[in-house]
Amino acid sequence: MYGKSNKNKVWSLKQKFISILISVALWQIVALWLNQPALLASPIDVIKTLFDIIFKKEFWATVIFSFSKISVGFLLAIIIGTLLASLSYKFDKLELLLYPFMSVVKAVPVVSFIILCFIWIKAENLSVLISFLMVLPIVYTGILNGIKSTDIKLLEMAKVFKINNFNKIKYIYLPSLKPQILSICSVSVGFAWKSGVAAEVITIPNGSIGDMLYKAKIYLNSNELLAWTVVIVIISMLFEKIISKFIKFLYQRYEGQ
Amino acid sequence: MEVIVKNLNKKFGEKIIFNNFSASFSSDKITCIMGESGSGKTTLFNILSSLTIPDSYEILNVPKKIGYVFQENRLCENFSAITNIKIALSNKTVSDEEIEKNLNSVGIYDVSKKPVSKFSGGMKRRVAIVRAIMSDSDLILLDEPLNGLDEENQKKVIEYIINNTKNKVVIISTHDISNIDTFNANLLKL
Repeated sequence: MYGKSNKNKVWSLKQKFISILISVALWQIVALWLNQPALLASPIDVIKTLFDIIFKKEFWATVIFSFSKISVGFLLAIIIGTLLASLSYKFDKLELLLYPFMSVVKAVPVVSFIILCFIWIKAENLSVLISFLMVLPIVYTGILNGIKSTDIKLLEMAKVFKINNFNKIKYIYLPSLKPQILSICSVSVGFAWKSGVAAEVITIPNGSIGDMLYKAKIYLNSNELLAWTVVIVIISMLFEKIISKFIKFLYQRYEGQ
Repeated sequence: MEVIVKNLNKKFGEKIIFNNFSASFSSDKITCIMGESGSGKTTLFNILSSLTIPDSYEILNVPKKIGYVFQENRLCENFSAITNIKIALSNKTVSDEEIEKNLNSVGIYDVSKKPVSKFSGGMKRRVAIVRAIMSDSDLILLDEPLNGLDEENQKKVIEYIINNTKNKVVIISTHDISNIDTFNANLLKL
């Protein structure tokens, strides 16, 4: 059984690698056919530029600036979203009260929020608020639905045996929320990065990834634009992997007690 | 101690389950409830444990905390047998060794720290039984407790229940008439 699932994992990795190779090959063909580096840089040029920018001393400062802002927004959304979802489960009226707010945040285009909030907040901190706002409804809805779908039979058992609230959360709600928490993290990390960088591109705070993307755009430097995009994708994927490994580690530590 | 149910009425939609039902359950002798499926055995347990609200009733002497073996085991699957039992205890000073001793009495050895998801159906059933018996309650409700147990383990469980429920009100729902003799119990037909 274990061997089979390991084999499937290797096969799935192989398939992913092959599909990435095919996409890159197609990109190279289109770039060669266009022959307009300002419009579409080839993957080879992008990789070269990527290595150039990685070894520049501003690179890490730029990455740390954007990473710190976006991850703060993301973590705040996780904490506040979870708290609000738990309170909404307990108090129906709060759920009703939050319904229009969450629906509006979900429906309004991120650009509208960026422009609206830019009036009130400094460019350096806007990506915190925007990534927070984009992730909050995902966390809130996911956790609330997760709590609502907790096994009613286990909750009845807890009621009969007078299990206290702390143990109910620890032994019933948290294990039941595990799939939701993992899927929320994997979806919302990407959202946080997309919206956070979009906020930076529009408000151009000095020394941010958005600033670099904006400069690359106005100088028609397609190589650098795509190289920074690759950087965003890699950081976002790494961040997601670290978060989900951390959550799995936490679960492993207390499950099986 | 005696738990008394008087004039219990309960219907689900048009189906009447209890119509002025009265009974008393004493700690002197175990009571076995028998009846066809849908006759109200589990409903009576759920009413006694406040999980179902009757239409009208008078119930006397029901303790606040009840030890209940549900029809399903209702265990926290990712956690060990010891944790499952410990969280149901109001006396937090009970040691792991004491719980293990109880688990040994029903034939569960050396696995009490493994998650119960790795247990067989019969082992889970026995953990649920130990949890109910150890829960420091004066009222123990056992809904078909011997379901899914082989003959040898049934014997261990029966002995465990008899030895550990002295001075407690014990009500067992069963389909097996021989349980009346086994538990030396009163019979209540629904």
